[in-house]
Amino acid sequence: MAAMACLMAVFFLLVLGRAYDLMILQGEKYARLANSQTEVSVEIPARRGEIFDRNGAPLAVSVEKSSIYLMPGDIRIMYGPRPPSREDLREQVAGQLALALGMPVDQVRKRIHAQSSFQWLARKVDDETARKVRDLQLAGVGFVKESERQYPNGSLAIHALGMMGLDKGIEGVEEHFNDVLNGRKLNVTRVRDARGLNLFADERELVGSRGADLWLTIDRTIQLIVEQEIRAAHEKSHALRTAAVVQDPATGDILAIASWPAYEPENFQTASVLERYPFAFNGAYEPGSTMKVFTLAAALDHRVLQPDERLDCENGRWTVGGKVIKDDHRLGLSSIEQILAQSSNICSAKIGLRLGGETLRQYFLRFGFGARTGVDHPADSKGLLQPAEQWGQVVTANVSFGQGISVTPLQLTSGVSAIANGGVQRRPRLVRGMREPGDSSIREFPLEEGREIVSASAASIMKRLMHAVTGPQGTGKSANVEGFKSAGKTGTAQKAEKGEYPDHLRIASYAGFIPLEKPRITILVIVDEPKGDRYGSQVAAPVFSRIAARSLKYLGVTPVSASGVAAVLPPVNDPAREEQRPAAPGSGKVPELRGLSMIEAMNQARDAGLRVAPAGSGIAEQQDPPAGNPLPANREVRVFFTSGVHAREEP
Amino acid sequence: MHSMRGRYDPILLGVVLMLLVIGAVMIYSASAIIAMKTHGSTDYFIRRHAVYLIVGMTGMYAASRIPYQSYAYKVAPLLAAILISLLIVVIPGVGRKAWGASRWMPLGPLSFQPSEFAKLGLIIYLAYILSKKQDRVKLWWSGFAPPLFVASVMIGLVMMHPDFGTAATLLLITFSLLFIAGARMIYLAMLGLAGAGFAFAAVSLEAYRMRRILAFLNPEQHKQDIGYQIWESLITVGSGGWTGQGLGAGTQKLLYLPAAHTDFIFSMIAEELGFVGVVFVAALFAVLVWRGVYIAMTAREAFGCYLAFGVTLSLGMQALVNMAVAMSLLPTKGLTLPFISYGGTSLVLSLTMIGILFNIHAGGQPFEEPHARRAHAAKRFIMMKDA
Repeated sequence: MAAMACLMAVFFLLVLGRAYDLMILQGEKYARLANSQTEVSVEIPARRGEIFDRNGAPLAVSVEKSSIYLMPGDIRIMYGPRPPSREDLREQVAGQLALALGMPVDQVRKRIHAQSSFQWLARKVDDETARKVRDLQLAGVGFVKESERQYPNGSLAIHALGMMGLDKGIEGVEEHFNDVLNGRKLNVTRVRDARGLNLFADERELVGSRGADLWLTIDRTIQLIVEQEIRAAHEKSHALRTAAVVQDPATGDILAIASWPAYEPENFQTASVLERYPFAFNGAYEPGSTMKVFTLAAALDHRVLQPDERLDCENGRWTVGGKVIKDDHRLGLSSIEQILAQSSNICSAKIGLRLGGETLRQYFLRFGFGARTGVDHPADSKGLLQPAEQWGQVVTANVSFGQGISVTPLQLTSGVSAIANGGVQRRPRLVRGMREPGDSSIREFPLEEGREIVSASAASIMKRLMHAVTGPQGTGKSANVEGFKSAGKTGTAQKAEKGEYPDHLRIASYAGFIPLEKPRITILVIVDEPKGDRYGSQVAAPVFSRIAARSLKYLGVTPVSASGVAAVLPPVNDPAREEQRPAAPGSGKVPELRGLSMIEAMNQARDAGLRVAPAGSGIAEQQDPPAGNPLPANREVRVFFTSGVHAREEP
Repeated sequence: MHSMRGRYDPILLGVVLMLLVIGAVMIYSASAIIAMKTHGSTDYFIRRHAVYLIVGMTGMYAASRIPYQSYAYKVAPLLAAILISLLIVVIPGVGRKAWGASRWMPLGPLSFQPSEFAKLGLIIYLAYILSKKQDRVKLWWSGFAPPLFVASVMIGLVMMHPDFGTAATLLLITFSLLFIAGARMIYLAMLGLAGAGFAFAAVSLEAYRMRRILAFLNPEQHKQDIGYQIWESLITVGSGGWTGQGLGAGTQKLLYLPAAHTDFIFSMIAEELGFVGVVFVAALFAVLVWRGVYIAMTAREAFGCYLAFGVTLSLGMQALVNMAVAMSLLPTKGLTLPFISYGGTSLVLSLTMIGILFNIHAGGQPFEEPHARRAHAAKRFIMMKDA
């Protein structure tokens, strides 16, 4: 009996020794292991901010989606028999996940076998798929809510907006303001249970902060008008591409900017280079005759040209520095109105030479050519202004009428806006303001000081000259809008190809502003390589006319009254006008949004002074709060869209 | 002289009560979350545990009042009842299955495990037969073989459940009591060899046992599948440190550690009460064994001595094995920690065993046996011990 007792005592000491070893000697190691499995740290991306037009219409929205990740070392089956070996387990789990996700099993297997502790399994999957995976009840598989970018207007303003990659903006405003839109990631450490359920039971909890929302200067309606018109012109001319910019000359706000062809957001991956190219921002081109505006403005400002002066246009043929310059319209002694209206290359060259290369170059630089405009868009570019030492007689003469110089459409628009705005140029603006997370209202970016480029009197003379372009003898008469006076300049540039200027390759353009008396919008239209009619007066000026007419009507600018002055409503960015919008229906109740498409629901909500927090895609199925309720304090209505029906059937 | 002793050894009673209190507190701490998840209320398990406690205390009280000598007359029916109940559980449709083993027999709202009773039955039988045979235990056919045969049948039935842990316990009890009774070392060595062979066969025949062994040998490598439980247990124990996370503050019971309130409650004690708590609990068991051995050595006759020792050995070994398993010193057995684990039959049986110890301590009671012949037989072996 004593022997047995001794044996038990030995066993007893062995057990205590083991406890000492585990708890004291190796205690730290196990405590660390315990923490690492019960505490989980997840980095939750903030919900990406949304992008609105200048009046609050949604251009890019964030829709909540579930993303699924793996912690390969933690994978286990919570219920049901445990597979005998780790390999069997992995194989079984890979099969189940592949089936639920509709992914090739090889891909899932690769991620399960990865050596890292965190692996994305599938990003931004639909609700149905997420539910299937959740139903598998696997440990080591987690969910995070992420926001997915959707562009409710399709390709509208896509070159300005840019595009989202998986985690960041890769073009346009999305790229330029990526950090602001993305916001701060949230690091969350939580205690979880073995199924990871404590932590992930309510994924709403895991929704992190928000990124900032952006208000662009783009007006969705004008953008739509512009895109419709350039597409029509593009198809009519069978052009290589067509672009237009609409700017408010008083503020520099870009109201619309587009080029065609463009792409649908969902086709980004397969879009061609041509479709993706944001031509209106960085498409440096030889402007041709539109450049004469700046040559003449410079000469007037520099007082080397008198408003009432007459110049000899040499009957359409003049040789300078051994180079022959020709005019389409043969002019003799001509007023400067005629020179611009009939677009004389010869007289423009003479005026340029009168200024001298260096002075002309300085003026061009002041107008913004050869430098970035400073617009908040990654495609903003410099164009090409030749270095000063190359500005000999020939170059100066050529540049005076827009050859041997490259400008971007935005630069040219901005230059014309300077004339329209009495010689004062404002930096082209694409973003009007933003709302940082936590802010209740939009913080508007202050307008920068304008820069005086030319004197007010020179600008005023230029307005008169450019108005003459639209006169009965002018090249821009087809740019006229009934009931309005306007100003502009045509351009028909030859395109250089392999150092030559083949006759059939042209860039036709028209740049102008309207109404003449108090310009509201500057418009540039460019048709690149039109077939058939190739002159700016033929293919670009009519597009200006249509865009101007529709935009002015939309903006509420009425045609010239009896007094000869256009009656003008408050400007677009008048805050008073802004305030009226949300309060419009005045009901103070949440509107019925069910049954509407996302864009319809957003417009409805906006009219009621609400914003939509969308989830899912398709047609609105549920909303919170429901219709008829008083407006919620946070002015947000959650709308769940279902993909069950993609389009309502029209009766 | 025996009558001068109190019925209840106060040290033993105190130790048992302390273990019960620790058990109840730890069961609540360890089971509240799983109870909430699976049964919708945090006190589901602790309430059921209370019922078993009442039954167990009643069993302890009854056993302390029943003169232990009377078991000697009930050996045959007792043995028969145990063998039959062990058999019944294996019959398909009767036994309740849990964790792949049909060890339970439904009994109203509760259920009981015949193999637990088999333990006590075997101890009583061995105590009886060994005290009767005395020195003849040194002989093979008339002494050593008969108890060995009965024990083998019982172990075989338990193996069919299959309950390897209890079978090994029964084998250990048999071995120990034969050793104490003075069986020849050569026979015991043969028994040991046979047991080892039998264990080897059992392990290699059943794949899950082999996997348990593998998991035991390298829990970290198998932590995602078969070694999961033991690996989590190691983490649980190891994270306790000197003084533990504090009662109720352990995190491993958040469904990480399976069977946290039953077989692996020792790990929870380690996590929440630390090394200090572990030493305290182990010390309580050590005192229990010391009192048990003391009672055995001061028993009135050989039967009481063997019975007390068998019971003490069974409780002490079970406690040690349970702790060893939780710390991966032994492969997983499915044994509870006496007085502490949630687990009905085990608790009732353990308390009953303590009751028997009390009764042996008090020297049993003179009993009136209507059958003179039986009384005579009983007196004869009592006298043999005294002689």
